This record gives sequence, C-alpha cells and structure tokens, in this order.
Amino acid sequence: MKENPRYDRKKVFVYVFIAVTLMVLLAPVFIRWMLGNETLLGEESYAHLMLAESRIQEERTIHPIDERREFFVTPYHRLLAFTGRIFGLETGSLILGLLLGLLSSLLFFLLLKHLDISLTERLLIMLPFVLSPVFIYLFTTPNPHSFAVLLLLLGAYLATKTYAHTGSEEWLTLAGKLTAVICLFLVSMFSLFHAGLAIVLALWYGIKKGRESKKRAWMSEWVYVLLAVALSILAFLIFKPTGYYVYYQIEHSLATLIPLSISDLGAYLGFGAFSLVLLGIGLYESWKNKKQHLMMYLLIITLFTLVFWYGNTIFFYLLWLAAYYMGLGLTALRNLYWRFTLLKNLTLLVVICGLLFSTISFMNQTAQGGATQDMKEGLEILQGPRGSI
Amino acid sequence: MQRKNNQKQEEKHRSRESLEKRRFLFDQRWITVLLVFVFLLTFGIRLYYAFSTDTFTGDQAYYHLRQIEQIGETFKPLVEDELSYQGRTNLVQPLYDYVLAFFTLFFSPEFVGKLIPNLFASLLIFVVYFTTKDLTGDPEAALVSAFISGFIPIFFAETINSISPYTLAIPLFFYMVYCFYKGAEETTSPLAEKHPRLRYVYQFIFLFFLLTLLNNMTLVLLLALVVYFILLKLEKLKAEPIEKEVFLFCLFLFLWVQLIMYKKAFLMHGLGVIWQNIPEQIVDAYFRQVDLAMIIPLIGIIPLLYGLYAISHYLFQTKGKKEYLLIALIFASGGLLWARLIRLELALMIIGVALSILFSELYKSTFLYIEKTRFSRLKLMVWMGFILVLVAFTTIPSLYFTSLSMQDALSQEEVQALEWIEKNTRKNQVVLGAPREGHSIAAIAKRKNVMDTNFFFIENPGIIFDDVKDLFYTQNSIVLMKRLQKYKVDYLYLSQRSRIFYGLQEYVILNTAKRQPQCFRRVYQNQEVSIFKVLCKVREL
Repeated sequence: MKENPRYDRKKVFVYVFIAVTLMVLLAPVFIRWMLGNETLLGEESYAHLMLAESRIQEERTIHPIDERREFFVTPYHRLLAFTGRIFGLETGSLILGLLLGLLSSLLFFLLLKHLDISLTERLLIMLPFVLSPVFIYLFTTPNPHSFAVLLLLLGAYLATKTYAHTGSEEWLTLAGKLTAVICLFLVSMFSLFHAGLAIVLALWYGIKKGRESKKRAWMSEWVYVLLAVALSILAFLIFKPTGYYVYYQIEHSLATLIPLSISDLGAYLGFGAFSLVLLGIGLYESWKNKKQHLMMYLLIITLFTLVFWYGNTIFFYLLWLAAYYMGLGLTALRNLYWRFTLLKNLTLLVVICGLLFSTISFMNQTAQGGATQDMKEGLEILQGPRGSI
Repeated sequence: MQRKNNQKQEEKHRSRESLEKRRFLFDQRWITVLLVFVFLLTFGIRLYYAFSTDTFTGDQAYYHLRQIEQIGETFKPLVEDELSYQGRTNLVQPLYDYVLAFFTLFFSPEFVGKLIPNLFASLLIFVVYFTTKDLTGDPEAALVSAFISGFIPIFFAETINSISPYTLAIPLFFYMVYCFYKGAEETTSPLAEKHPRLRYVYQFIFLFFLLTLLNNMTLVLLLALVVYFILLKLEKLKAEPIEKEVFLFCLFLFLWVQLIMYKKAFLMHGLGVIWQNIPEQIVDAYFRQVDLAMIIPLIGIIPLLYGLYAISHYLFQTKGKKEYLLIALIFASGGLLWARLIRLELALMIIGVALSILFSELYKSTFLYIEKTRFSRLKLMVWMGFILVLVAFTTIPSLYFTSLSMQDALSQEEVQALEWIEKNTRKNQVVLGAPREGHSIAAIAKRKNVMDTNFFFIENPGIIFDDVKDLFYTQNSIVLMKRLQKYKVDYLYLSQRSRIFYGLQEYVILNTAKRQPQCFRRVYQNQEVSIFKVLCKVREL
C-alpha cells in the first residue's frame, strides 16, 4: 500500500503533542473560569503583575508588599509589561504564559532530538513532562521562572543546534552560539541562582565539547564558554539581582520537604506520585550507563540540594532533567520483555491513568486555590475612587 | 571421578527420599482428617468465646456494625455520618463491610459479626497448610504449622470478638503469598503449557486489588517483594520474569487505588494519612514502639525461636527462594514497625503467621534427625510431646489473652445504659463519652457523639481530644460548662471503663454535679454507668 505523501506520521504526532500541551495549559484557567473565579492562578501572580505595571507606568519605586521581601524587576517583568501594553496585564500574563509554555516544550522536544533520541522515546519523555503539575504551574501562573526556563532552553538548543550544522553555514553557527551566550547573559539577570545555573551549563557544555572535539575546535568552543561565564558574572554584578522569586522562602528539612514535593499529598508545586516512581525506574535503568549520565546525576543532586534553601520552585529547573528520566522509566516499562502481555498492557494503562489522575487532581486543586472572586471584588471596592488605599 | 561423585549424590538423594517416606506418622487421609479437626477446633473455640457474650470487644467493632447495618439496608456504605463527631465524612474501605453485609440477608448483623469473621480467621489454617506443604513438601510439618497459625496469640485474641477486617485480610494476604509461589512455579515449569497457564497469577492480581480495598496490608506485601528481590540479588539467585512483572503491575495498581481512595485525605492531612490523623497525644498507643519482651507472648515463644533459627539458616547457610519471601515479609513488617508506620497488631500478625510457616522447615529437619537416632521407635511419643509443648506455649497463651480481651467487651450494664439513652432522649441530642465509647454511643444509643476513634477528615482532633479529656478532669465548673456548650452536649455518659481509662478514683464531674444540682441531673444509673442531663448554659457578659 502506498503511503499518502501528505500524511506524515511524525508530523501528526508533533501536532497532537502541541494540541495536548495547549489543552493542559488552558484547562486550569478554564476550570477556574467555569467555577466563576476570574482571578489569576497562583500564589504571587498579582505581585508580578504589580512589578510589570511599575514598568508600564515607568515608576522607579515599587510599592512594598512586605518589608522583609525584596522585589526585583527581571527581564520577565519587562516582557510582561510589553505584553500588558498590548493585551492588558491580566490577559497578557495568560497569553505570555501560554506562549512561553508552548515554546519551551517545543524547544525541549527539539533538544531531545539533538540528543539522538528516537521519536517514540521523545514522546514518552514528553508525556510525563507535559502532564507534570510542575509544568502546569510554571506556565499557567505568572512568574519569572517561566521566562528564565525558556531562555535556558533556548541557549541549550542554539548551542547544540550549531553543532549540527556543517562548515558551509559557519555564520549561522556563530550567530547561534552568540545568541546562546546572550540567552545565558539574560538568565543571569534573574538571580544569583540563575547566574550560577547559567555558568554551570556553560561549563558542562565546554567539558562535553572538550571530550568530543579536536584540540583546535575545543579551544574555539571554550572561547564561547568563557564569554558566557564572563557575561553571566557581569550581568550579576551590574544588575545585582538580590531576590529569588520563591513563594515561601523557608529552609526545609527532609520531613517537611516530602509533603511539599508530591502534588498528590497536597503540594501546590510538586511532582505526581506516578512521575516519581517512573523517575526511580528511569534512574535505575540509566545506572547501567552511569558514566554517560554522571553530569546529569550531579546536576540533579545539586538542584535537589538547593531545594532545601530555595524551596520547591527549584522544581521548575529540576523538571527538565527529571522528565528525561521519567521518560526513560516509561520507555523501560514499554521495552521490557514481558512474558505476560496482558500484564504489560494493564501496567501501561494504569501508569497513564495514574499520570492523568495526578494531573486532573492537581488542575482542580489549583483552579480552586489562590485568590477568589469575592476577594478581588472586595479589594477593588477598598481601592476606592483615587486608586489607592 | 565425576561418575563416582554422581553415584554418591544419587545414593544420598535416594536414602534421603526413603528416609522422608519412612518417617511420616500419618498418611495423607489422616492428615486431611486432622487438618479438618484443627480447623473445627479453632473455629469451635473461637465461636465459644465469641458467643460467650452478647456484646463486642473494642470500639471499632461497633463502627463496622453500623456500616454493615447501613449497607444491609441501603446497599451503600455510611460515608456521611450524622452521629460521629456530630456529623462528619467517613473514609470507608468498603470491601469487608460489604462482605459481611451480604450475610445479613440470612442472619442478624450481630450474629454475622460473631460468626463470619471467626470463620474467615479459621480459614487461615488451610491457607497456611497449603503454603507450607508447597514450601516443604511435608504434609505433617504443614499440619503442625497450620495448627500453630490457628492459635497465634495476637491474631486469636484480637480477632475473636471485634469484627476486625484482619480476619479476612490475613488469610487473603497469605493466600496471595501462596499464589505468588505457585504462579512463579507454573510459569517456569517445563510442563507449563499443559497447565491452565497463569491461573495463580490472575488470582494474585485479583486478590491484590481486593486487598487494597480492604486494608493497607498491600503496602507490606510490596515492600516485602522489594526486600525479596534484594535478598535474591544478594544470594545470586534469579527472580522469575513473572515475579518482576507482577510486582511492577501491583506497584502501580497500589499507587493508583490509594490515590483514588485517599485523595481527599492526602490533600487534607498530607503524610499524616499514614498515621490516620490520630492525635499526637494518643498516636503512640496505636503505632507503638516494640520490644522483644512484648513480642514473645504475642507471637508465641516456639514459633518465634524456630522461625528465627530458620531465618538465620536460610540467610547464612542454605539458599531457599520461597523462604526468602517469608523472610522478606518478616523484615518488611519489622522495618515498618520499627519506623512506626504500621500498627503493632498488624505487624505481629504477619510476622506470627510467616514464622509459623517457617517453623515447618525446622520441624521437618528435627524429625529427620530423630529418624536417624534410636528415638525413631518412639516417634509418636516424641511427636505427641512436641504437640503438648506447642499447646503449652501457643494455645494456652492464646486462650489467656483471649480471656483478657473478652473482659474488655462491652458489659450488659453499659448496653442497658446505651439502650436507655436511645429510648429516653431526642434523636438530635449529643452524648458525651470517652473517645473509645464514641462508636458504641452511635451504634447502640443511636445518638450523636462528641468524639470517637476514627480521625480521618477531622480538623484538629488533638484539640477535641484535649477538650474531652479536660471535661473529665476539670474542677472549674465554668470551664466545664463552656466546654459542654462548645460541643452542644446534652447528656454525659460516665462509665467505669472511662474512669479507669482516665485514671480517676472518682469522676470530678460528680462533685460538680453535687455542687450545682441545677445544672446536672442524674437521669440514669446502674452498677457501671451514670448518665447526667446537662441543664445549664453559660452566658457571656
């Protein structure tokens, strides 16, 4: 049978994946609207809107919400202000989140392609990733991490993309790498953590290239790496981003961390129980090639350790690495030789149902949390005719 | 040289086989008769104790009684409970109550609560017999193990008169262990194609699903399977593919069912679900620290010693795949008990049954050894002596603990007092008793209680617990009245049971009642219970 040239199976998968991502990102907002609550999702959404508004009105000072908290305008707030000028701040924040979410997941998908991961495996990685409560929270609530994540992914994508090009497109390679450096520079404007992360990623890239390339190529790669590191340090020194946007900045212990990390236990920002089991299976599977995964392990351990200081917003960054291993876990389950095929199908069915259950449960929970419509109306009355309390 | 070795091994094997054939005291028919006898004996003793009183032991029995009655009448479990805590949502694991409710089509709920749980618990004897027989291939050893399992003190005493879900869960749990053995055997046997394939695997999966609806014991089983795989790895033995597949499936199934069933509870209590939201003040009484002196009488010294010997034997001397699963069960239950993540009675029941199965290994080797000595002629005498020792160290402690537990059953006086409340008070009135009397107030008096021993979905149960405790201790009448008003209490149910529980010589409230007769009127009294009507209210100025 001849295949229809217009029917490309791979493309269909990608379109389906985009549609699913879109649905997942829109669902909590729609559920909230259906419940008669038109306020924004999330714990500190309005704080970020306020910062963006201060950019629109070109105010130098920011109204203090809490004297103990430091609020710092990041590139995200400037981008939000720009979007807000076009659509209005509330709608703009939703559209921006949606766009950042779609772009980030596409970049992640393409990044996986650069790592020579097959389409099926990529889709199996994307499934727990898109259904993860962390992903949903990241892109449905206005927060600066959504943009920081996109910049990091863009940087990583451009750095690896140039590697794929041949010598005939050298100018493209150069432009790509320089853009990657700029992305890391922009990321470093967010906070010390982001600057550190940018530097670590640049060094990781340099070390990886150093192993793979010849001496001369190795040196040229390290020029970009050193440039990225220098610019990251410079960005941090110039802009002095003192704040790190966390919702409850408390030092965690392991006992407090567990319920704050698992969305099924009520965490507003955490991984689903099924995702964690898949992560465990993925890590177990990857242990067979532990040398290859060493840098990933180190990064995961470092990020996880940082959770104790920075809180569970670190999960925004841990998600991308974790999703990879969750996907590996799912792939392992699928590829494992099962003597009892019915059991295999049932297991995969239960896993997918479990992932969906965590997601839907989280969506409901998030849609009902945060500010309420009554609260908003009450505060609007308090605002009074002069616009200030 | 090799041929010589092979010949030697064959001879050894033949002599061992003949030895095993020779040593049996009873043939299979006699063993079947004895097995049925052991079952009837256990069941008979259980029924004797259970029907020696009209009431039940433990407050949870009355909770299950209410569930059974509700399901019997409406086919739905009691989720929205108007009486408990004056109105709350119950977290129901419905299977056990549904099973018992089915029998209420033929008998009264009270009769069902006495008969059926004891029937289920007695079925453990057959489960242990078949598991042990599969393990050792020795029907005599299996019979002795079955006998021991029928009289494990903690299982016997805790399940006779308490409508406990363990009566169904424990036999099911160990039947699943049996299915796990057989499933792995069936799929690896060269004759597998001739057998109806995977029959036991299907049974295992189906029962696993049922058990998740019945009790949280499936967690112990999953953890035990993890320990089992680790033990196999350490001993350089290979796990069968079907074992891994079943484990993976059950792991995900467990997670999914738990998340669905406990979703609201997880969101409300987080990790506190593990400790059932029990107030901090009394959580130690449920999830107890354990010491060896406590374990010995509750499991029985003989199975404990023999079982521990078997564990060390299989861990350090020989390899035995099937035994490793039982050892893993003991380790998993012990580990969870040590971490206080499992109730003491549940852990000890699992450990007790697992040890009684492992006991058979030593029984077998003991009698093999006797066979080689001059005592082999007196085998029957030795066997009878052995059984006498077993009776002395397992059956008698069981009966002793059961007598103690039966003393804890609700007395006739208490039932009369509760029935008086039902007849003489209005339906929406609130009765205050100790937390452990809450279920009987709801079940027999059919009135609202202030507190009982189900804590899921209750906000700050610790505060309610302290308030109720204060009511029994305080001498300050204003505090007393305020608390009574806070919980809208209409009647005080003061029993000797609560007085002893709170360690009081006499109820402090009685003095207050004497001082302020206008506020408290004694409306009922018998030898064990006094009931007071609350007449006053505190008015804030």
